[in-house]
Amino acid sequence: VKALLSFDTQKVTEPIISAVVLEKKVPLNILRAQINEYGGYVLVEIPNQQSETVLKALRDLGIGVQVKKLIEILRDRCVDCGHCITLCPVHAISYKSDLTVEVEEQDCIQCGRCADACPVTAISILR
Amino acid sequence: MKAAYLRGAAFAKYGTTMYVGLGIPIPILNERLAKKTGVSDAQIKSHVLDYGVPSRNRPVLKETNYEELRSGKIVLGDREIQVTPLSSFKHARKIAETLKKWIEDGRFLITQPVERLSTSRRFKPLDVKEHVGK
Repeated sequence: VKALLSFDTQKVTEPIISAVVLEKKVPLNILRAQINEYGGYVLVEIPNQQSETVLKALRDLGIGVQVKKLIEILRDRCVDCGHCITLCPVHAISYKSDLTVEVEEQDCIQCGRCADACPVTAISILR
Repeated sequence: MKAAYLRGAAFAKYGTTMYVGLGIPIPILNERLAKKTGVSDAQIKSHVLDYGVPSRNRPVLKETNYEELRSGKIVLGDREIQVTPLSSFKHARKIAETLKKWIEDGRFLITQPVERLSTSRRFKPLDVKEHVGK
């Protein structure tokens, strides 16, 4: 399960993720982390079996937890050029056999390189 | 004519441009034309240019062809690099199929030329690229 965690400005300095990892003894994979003036965002991958307990523990510590769609290709805009394919660091985007560009959402880490580069602004990163 | 075949686009760090989808029928009038139009992807050569050099005449890093480019990967030096076209193959195919259907249905007819291309006027050619290290 991938979850988008949001930290407010007070919480960004606390070792909350490490605390949950140690307490629940669950390995978390941090895919992306970003801190700005409004707080912090961390995209984590949690093993499916333990996802409920981990997400609850994070919520209890005051962390915003969202499990939702990460990326979307807007079909009415996309021209299937494939410019995004070469830029994806995790190879989540590819051509289907009919040359339609498709994204494997499970692999996306929301780096946003595809969305920045898309010549027709057809990729939406859902944060 | 469809708005879907004329689309505005913007490439990061390059600028604005347009996707123009145009289907051009080529009447195969003789053997020479058949031979010229029947080239394979492997016979269409292209160059890999170094865009790190801010000049119109950018150095050529490698000669490649469309077969290699369409495979999705090319080898440059000792690295394998992912490649995709900037245009849309899917749309190109769709346009070609649409035009083919029009021709087969007798809805697209060829007329006498409205105007012939000039044989005397000269166009300013682009610079000839040379392979680095030659």
